[in-house]
Amino acid sequence: MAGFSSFADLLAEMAAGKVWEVPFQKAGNVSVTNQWYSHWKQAGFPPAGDDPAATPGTQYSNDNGSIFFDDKDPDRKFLVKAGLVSQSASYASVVMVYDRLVGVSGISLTTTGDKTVNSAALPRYTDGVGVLAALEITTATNATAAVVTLNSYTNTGDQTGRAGNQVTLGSTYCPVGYFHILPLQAGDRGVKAVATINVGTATTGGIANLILFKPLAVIPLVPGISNDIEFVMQQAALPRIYDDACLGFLSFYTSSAAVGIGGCLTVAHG
Amino acid sequence: MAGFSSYDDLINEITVNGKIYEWFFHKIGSAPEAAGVWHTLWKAAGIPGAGADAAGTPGDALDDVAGSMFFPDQASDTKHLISVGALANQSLTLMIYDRLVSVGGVSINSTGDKTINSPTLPRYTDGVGVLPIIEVTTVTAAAAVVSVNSYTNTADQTGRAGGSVTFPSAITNVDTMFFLPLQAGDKGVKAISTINASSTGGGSAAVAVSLVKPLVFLPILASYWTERDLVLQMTSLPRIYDGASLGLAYLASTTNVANVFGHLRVAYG
Repeated sequence: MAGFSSFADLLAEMAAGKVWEVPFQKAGNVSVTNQWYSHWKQAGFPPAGDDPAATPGTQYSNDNGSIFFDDKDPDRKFLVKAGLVSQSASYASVVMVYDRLVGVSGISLTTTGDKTVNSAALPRYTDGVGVLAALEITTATNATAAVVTLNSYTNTGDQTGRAGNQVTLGSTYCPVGYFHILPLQAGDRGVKAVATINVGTATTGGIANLILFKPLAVIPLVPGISNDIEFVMQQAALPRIYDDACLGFLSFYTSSAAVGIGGCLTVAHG
Repeated sequence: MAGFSSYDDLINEITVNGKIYEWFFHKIGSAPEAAGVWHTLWKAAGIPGAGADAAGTPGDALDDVAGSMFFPDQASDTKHLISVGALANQSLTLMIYDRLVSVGGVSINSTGDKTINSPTLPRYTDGVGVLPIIEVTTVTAAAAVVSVNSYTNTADQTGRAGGSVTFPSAITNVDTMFFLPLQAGDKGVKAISTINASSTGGGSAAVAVSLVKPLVFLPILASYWTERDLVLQMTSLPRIYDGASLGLAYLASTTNVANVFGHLRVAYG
């Protein structure tokens, strides 16, 4: 039987060595206040991740740049604790741990119109439930705030041509790493694939990755003080870490100043 | 046996049987009317996508409705909210509620009774804890005074009438939301027959009238993530009925637009 039949079973599995503790540290960069920022390409451990391929992109599976774990099938892996600290002396942030599923690079925001994405099939969460789409800036925008729409995607019910509302990126200047989650159409529970995004208002210099990802946990941080969230008794959650998962980090910035992060993820299996 | 017999059973259902859902939400709404006034995110773009206005009287009974957060039916298991977390760029109090019935296009640009005749509740059918709200759908030109002046309470008494609310401004923004007071002694609402405007909203003022069941209130300090565990930290395990159509609204602390991001975890067993 995979999983944990009880808290005692979880403790027994961990005592038997079925647990990993993985430290990490990632630098930050200046970004946009009250918006998400991706640490994917920042140095640290794990080291900087690469941009995905152009359409149909990259299916992420134990990729460099992510935190990943040995496959343990038929056991199942679960996140049991996340301890983090902000490396900013002044600014709070909120950190999201996510599973990076598919990326498509080279999406230009410098001209209007539909941009072909045609993303590859999801390697995990294949039903798309809870899978979100976002733009991750790889070349900074430096003029008009781009206006974009996730205007043709496949939802969890295999309906194609779904379209979310239009959204304006958070600033005229969106630096490398700026990460904007895209709205979905009413009634949709997630994204299986993206055919196109539309640029309604172009900007200057902006190029982005389209990322499909599954959020796993969110941890608030205040400057210089570590915060541990336990996902068994403190929060009944036990987020599952699938085999081949590629864990990355996002920060919700409360100022534009760079905020690096560090900490340790604890994952048990049984 | 539906539900969870113990904490161990909950762990077993989550990790062995995979009986857990998670919904991340992200909404950027319109500008709130004022600090201390409720603001609906029903029609805000984001995740879930923007909800639509309900039909006019008798309106709609809502079941997994587009614009809401909803989960697959799991009878004979029961679903329960086990944690909720969120952040926003403004300090606010977030409410997660089950949107039950809604009647749109209710004009309040004249005084008098307005016919609602809401449909039968699809969940919480005894009406206990079910509250009436109005959401401004067309901006007002005068400070309206509105009450729910004929409703059916949980004891099936008809013609019940609550006190009135006065809109906070002559020009009250779209998406401003109010809870309508109940008559003394009442524990909830089964149906609404009419609301009354004793003072007109002027212009083309219109509202949607809905019945909702609040599930969780989450206090959020600006730019700080707040998470509540609803099993051991705040034992409540609010039940999420099949067909539940979960919506978001908040009590504003400022007139600035709020960017709200968060998630719900729902386990079943």
